[in-house]
Amino acid sequence: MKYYLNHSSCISPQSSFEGKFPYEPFTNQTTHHILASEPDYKPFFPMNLLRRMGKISRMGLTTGLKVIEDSKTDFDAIISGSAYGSNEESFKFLDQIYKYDEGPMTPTNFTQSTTNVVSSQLGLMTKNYCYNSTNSQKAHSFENSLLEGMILLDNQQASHILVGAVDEISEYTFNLFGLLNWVRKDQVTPQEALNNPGTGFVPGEGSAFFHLSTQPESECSVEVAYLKTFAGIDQENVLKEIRQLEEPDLILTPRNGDLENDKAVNHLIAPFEDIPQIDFKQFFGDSPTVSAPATWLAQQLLNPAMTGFQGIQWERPLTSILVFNKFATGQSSLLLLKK
Amino acid sequence: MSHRVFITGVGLISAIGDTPEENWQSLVEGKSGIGTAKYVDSKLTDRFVFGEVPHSNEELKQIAGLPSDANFARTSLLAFIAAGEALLQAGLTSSEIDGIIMGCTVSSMCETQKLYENAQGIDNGSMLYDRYDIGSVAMEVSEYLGHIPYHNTINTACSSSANAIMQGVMMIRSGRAKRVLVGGADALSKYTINGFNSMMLLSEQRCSPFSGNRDGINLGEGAGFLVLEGEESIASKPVLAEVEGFGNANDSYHATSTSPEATGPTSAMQKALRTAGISSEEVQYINAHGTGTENNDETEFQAIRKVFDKQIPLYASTKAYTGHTLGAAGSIETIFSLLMLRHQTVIGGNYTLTHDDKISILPLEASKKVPLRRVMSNAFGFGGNCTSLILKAGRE
Repeated sequence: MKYYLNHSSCISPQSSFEGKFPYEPFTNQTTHHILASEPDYKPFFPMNLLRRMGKISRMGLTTGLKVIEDSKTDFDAIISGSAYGSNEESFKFLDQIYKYDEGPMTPTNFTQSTTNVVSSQLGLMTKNYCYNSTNSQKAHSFENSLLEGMILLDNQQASHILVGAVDEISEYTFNLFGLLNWVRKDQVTPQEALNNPGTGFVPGEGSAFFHLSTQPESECSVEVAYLKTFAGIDQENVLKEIRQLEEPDLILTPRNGDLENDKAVNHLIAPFEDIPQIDFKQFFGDSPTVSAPATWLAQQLLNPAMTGFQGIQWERPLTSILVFNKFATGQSSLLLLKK
Repeated sequence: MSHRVFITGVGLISAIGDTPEENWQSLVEGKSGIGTAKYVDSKLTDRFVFGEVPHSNEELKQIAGLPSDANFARTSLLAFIAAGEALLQAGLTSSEIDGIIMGCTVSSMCETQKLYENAQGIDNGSMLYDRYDIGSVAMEVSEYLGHIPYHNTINTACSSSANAIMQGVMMIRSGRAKRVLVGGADALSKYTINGFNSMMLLSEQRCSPFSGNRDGINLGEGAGFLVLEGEESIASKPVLAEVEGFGNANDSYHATSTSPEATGPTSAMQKALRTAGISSEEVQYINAHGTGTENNDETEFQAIRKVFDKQIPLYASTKAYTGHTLGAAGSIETIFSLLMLRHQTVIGGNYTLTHDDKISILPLEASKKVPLRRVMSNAFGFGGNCTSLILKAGRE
């Protein structure tokens, strides 16, 4: 069986939702992290609903709804991934618990804090009564969601699947990252971080959703030719797997300016060192589900009209891109897309 | 490609026992684990009753064979115990398992005070900074058992671990894995207790699902794990049951309540019958989700009536024994269903049932021996996530 990613949508620190391409400099850089460039949400939600929605819902639902709209497809499964879910809402509820000392409180933050809020709201908003699921496995949340979609196709339990991943960078995730010493202490952009390696990364956020099916459905369709995840202690297997893969035309690589991370990346990608590489985290910042926007980027680069990107030119259209991700949790993944 | 998937090992810890055998003993004796909670840090334990596992974290570490200074949250400790039991019964080591897929909603967030401080950037020495997210427990279980290459965690609220079982079955059926460890774990936490209280869903007494006088949920805690193996992998090894049918559907009605038409629950049960390739008359018992809330039980009964029409099988909910264990409920109750098949005994709620206009056939009150070939187990969650599983006895 073959698996294809068809229409897609992405909200990220770039103007990706508007399809602006190639990339422009960041406009949302705060001191230590980089926020998503959020589109005008009014066409998607009534104002009263929008006011009550957390950022993860806004980003996740909008990208999901855009794919549904563009693909004009009746989806029979909705799957999303998120490493941290709605941390913002979770903390607001936690804050109420301590502020009111477990007295009476409003349930809105609690009900919005469940990780399945994006998949279930997508179902609710589009009156979709089909298969509905949410995966949360740190830096494999997107990959596992894509795999779940492929397994559903294998089992003939669905034929058109809406699949994606979303994570927000709330103050609270940022604080936890800080305690883990994961965040760059100097105020740099992700590009500057890459050029001046140090300790930690520049956190980012975003969402990307795709139409997954067993047939190419549109001109933008790309095939998912290979997908594998690796737990922290299995990193040497990445090297083994890469050695067995056919050579892609381009690799999207997960360097982020963290010395330790970049050293590990160099080691693992060694068999493919002669193949052109683009470090994707400089465009999106780093997050456990940044592989979703990276996959979206790879799909754009496989468009036959693309002749180059970020200083790399190619003579004929690219036919395959390997998306290699690695995150601070130690987890990594390989995803090979083919035109 | 394996089309048939069997359960070859189970592990279970809940308010009514540390092992599947202890749990079964309590069920047949009608002994409920609902009472005053001693260990969870919440003021609301003065008011509500819970299905708390009757061990301190130190005792859980001992049961799990961990040193007293091991730094794990309660959810993980419960998961270690149940996962270890399941592997032992299946006679397998972690190196023979291709993946762990579990349901979870609380994770290390059960350490609510520590999380509250850490999330504000306060370093209180908890060392749990990277373990409050949902996916942490699966990774910890993998490390505790040795090493399992693939990890996944599903959070579809209260149907999480039913979906984990379903995903494991489909993974084996697609040929992507031979053996998987599936299940779920959740500990009681100040966070969820206050969450359910803010929605006014908690009961001050032992819950009474499907009874006219029901007035809410008892939250519980626990973990349940199952080893799933494809037909080709097991050879002549004894099997406990087959996972024959599975169905996942969304109610798509409201974030926290079920539709009056019971769309999602009905569809999940119908899909489970369809994947099993059986008609509704072939199911002898339904282990209902039955939380004890006005809304869930009324909707679930309506769905049962729609699906089973004239011939409604015996049904009951075990939540009056264990409380609602959230992300662990689907797997714990699938194991209860398996034990019922093994012992050819259906478990009644063992509480007094009063009439309800909307529930025309009341659930089973007293346990009894009956010939059982198939049992359906339901799990429904916030967000409309509904899942039904069908277990079949033996390997015929």
